[in-house]
Amino acid sequence: MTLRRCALLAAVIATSAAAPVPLSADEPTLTIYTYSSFVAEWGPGPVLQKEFEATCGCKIEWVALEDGAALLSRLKLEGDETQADIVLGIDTNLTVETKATGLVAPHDVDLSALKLPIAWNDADFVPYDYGYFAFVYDSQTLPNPPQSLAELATASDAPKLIYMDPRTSTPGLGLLLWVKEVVGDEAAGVWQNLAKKTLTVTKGWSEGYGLFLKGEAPLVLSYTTSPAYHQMMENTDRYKALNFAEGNYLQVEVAARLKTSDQQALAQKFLAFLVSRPAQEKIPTTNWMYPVVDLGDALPEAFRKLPVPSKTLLMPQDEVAANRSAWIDEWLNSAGQ
Amino acid sequence: MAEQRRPVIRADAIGLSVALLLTILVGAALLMLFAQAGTAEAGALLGSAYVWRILRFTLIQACISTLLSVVFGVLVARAFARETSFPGRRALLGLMSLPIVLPSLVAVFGIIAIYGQNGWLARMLALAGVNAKPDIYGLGGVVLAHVFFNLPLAVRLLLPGWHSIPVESWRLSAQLGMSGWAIFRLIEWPMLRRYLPHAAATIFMLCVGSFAIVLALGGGPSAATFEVAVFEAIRFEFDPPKAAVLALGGLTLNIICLALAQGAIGDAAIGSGWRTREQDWGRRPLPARVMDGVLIGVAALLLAGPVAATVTDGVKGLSESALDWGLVARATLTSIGLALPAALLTMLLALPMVLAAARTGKKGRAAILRGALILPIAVSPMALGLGCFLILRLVLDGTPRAIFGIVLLNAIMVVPFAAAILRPAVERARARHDHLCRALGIAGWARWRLIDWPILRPSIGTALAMAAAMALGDLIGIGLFGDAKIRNLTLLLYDQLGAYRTGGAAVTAALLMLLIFVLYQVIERGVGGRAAP
Repeated sequence: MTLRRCALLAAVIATSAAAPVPLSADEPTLTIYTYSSFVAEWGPGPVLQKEFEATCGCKIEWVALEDGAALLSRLKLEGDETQADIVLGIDTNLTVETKATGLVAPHDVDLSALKLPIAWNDADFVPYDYGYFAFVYDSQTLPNPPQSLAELATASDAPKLIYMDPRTSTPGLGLLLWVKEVVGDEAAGVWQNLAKKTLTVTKGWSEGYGLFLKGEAPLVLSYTTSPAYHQMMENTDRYKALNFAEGNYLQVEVAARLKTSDQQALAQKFLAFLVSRPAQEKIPTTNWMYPVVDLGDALPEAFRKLPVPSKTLLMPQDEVAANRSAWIDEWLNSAGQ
Repeated sequence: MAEQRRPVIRADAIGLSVALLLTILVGAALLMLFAQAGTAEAGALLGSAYVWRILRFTLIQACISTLLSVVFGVLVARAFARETSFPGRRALLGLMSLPIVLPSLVAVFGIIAIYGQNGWLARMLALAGVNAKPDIYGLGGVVLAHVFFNLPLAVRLLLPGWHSIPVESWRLSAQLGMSGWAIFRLIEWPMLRRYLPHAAATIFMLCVGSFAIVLALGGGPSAATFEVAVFEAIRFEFDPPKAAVLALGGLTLNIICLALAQGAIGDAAIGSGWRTREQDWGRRPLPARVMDGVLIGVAALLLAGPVAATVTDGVKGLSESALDWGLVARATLTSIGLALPAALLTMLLALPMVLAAARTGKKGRAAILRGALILPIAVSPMALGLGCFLILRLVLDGTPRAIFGIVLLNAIMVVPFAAAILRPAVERARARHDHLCRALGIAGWARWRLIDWPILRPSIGTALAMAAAMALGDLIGIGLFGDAKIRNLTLLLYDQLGAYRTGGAAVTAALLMLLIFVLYQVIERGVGGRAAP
């Protein structure tokens, strides 16, 4: 193959692989910024898109970034010039920062029918799913897992665990806040103890959970809903989540429409659709999180059987925004020795 | 005379223009970060204990990893240079091009599968009745992973050095009955002085910029590199100027180390013999050959373990999970469709600069050209990527922006690797034929077609193959531009892993590895011709 033929081939493949999807001119487009796994083939994105487009007379354009934090940082970079009509996938720890961009418009959606572990009366953000952070353990290698954070940190024979870096990952930040909420000023001591039992601290959830499934450690930071995946898709009860005596930290994922959007009505309609029953029914088995409305029997059995944490922990968001950096320093200084 | 010189000057000018363009682009990318809102107190930031601690770990792990990769790399490359005809040599060298282009997650899981708590090694130890588990989490694991990545790269970058030693030198050494040490000191070391600085610097910078691997295998927050801080600044602190300051800090570090490497090892004149191949090593003593065999065997084992584990997991995953093959096919096409233009663009950038660097008589120009050639890996990939995004959003939009941006970013980031492969061949061609060409008045296109292309073709093939393979594993570009329609294999892999689909992810990882391997071989042999190494 000569260089020239190689170039020709490349050009052909490039144009065929990236051929733009034709848009019909008269349909408005709703641009949604979200995180990558939301729009994966098995994620909620494609089914929600199909359902919404069937009624809205519009077209959804997804922009998929790595995670919620990437989403927010993109929004900050673009400011007023952003193409986004909606941002979807910010978590509760980032709402204060998101609002601080001045780009968020009130949602105008009736959220009275929502059922969340906490009261939700935010005028800007629409919650669409939630989960509790939890340590998931392998019941084959760990028959007697620790039942509380205190036990995890202090027991002399505590097993090895994997968690994520709060500097680079949302669950990692969740654990940081969880520990802070439970032990307050004694966090440094807890981190020092945990460091002795830590196999490794990964960049993101994917690496950490992957290492856990490879059998590298019997405990990993994840969600209480993780076992539901293994039950429904792999038919196994091997992996279980731990509800700690001190309670588990809550994560709520939210969406918002933007002031800069020229599709305000359409964006409002999508947000309302997002918390409607048809959309919420798709959430559990696509995003593996709890829906924000009571689905009754429509909630898959694996989810209904999951033990719900005895206590829900969530820190005021402005406190998180104000202290994140100091708490990460504390973690670095105590866990990094 | 003036008639004949002009084309040389023109080649210089093109190379210099490309170098300036590339430097300006990288500089502008960093400037764009500074232009964003944020709090860049450069002094306070670079003086903080946190940054110094990160810096210390970055330096320690990068120095150890580089030293091991390079020393072991010299030995293995030397063994390969001497053992020219054992079965599987070509395949093994082909495998050597794999690790460096593997997405970090694939490599991490491959390494874990061998050396992890539940890996093959641990299970073999258990079978043998040994009550110990390998513990790779910590500095050891980070270094192991980096050697896995960079030893093969060192071999690939150094092996051409041995091929460049003229046959006359070997003959002379045989006639004089030189000892092994004398051969190393008088023949091989001068060659290495030409090849080592670039190889060592490339590897060092890769280790400095390494990120996900360091965190995954580092065992705790004290194992973190500069790049972690850059990532945090961009992602969670929304502070591009801070990221830019950190990136500049990393750049300075890299430049210092580059200068040190160059200063310590120096540079030697290139040999100007004619024939370089067909050196007959057949009559070497047995112990030396056994040693070669051991070195090649250890390198092969180090390399083949994680690769074999990835393939095995992929086959296992195939039976465990139903895969949407249409999805995989689309992702594969997208990967190839983005990688090939990126590789071509890399070549368009690297070749003129390398040609100009070899031909220019002026030291200043040569320095500019060499600086530009190494610049893209000296700068934090995250910062460079974000800066490119910020520039492109001024002129482009939507899917075209994403395609152009991904191709451009990948092309730029691979330039140093392509240059490392091209440079020795170009210099050799120049040393051998410059006088003759001038004497005969062969210049410009005619010279390229008749003289340079036949000599450079194998190296161009290799460089193009490596560029394409590296772009195939792109994640930074895809993640940054975030067009939901453009999803390559690497992204598919991360999406699968991010959604519990480990079986499918194992299949994708194996496929990606296979694709990288095949594409590399096809391009290297197709473009490089039969003389490819």
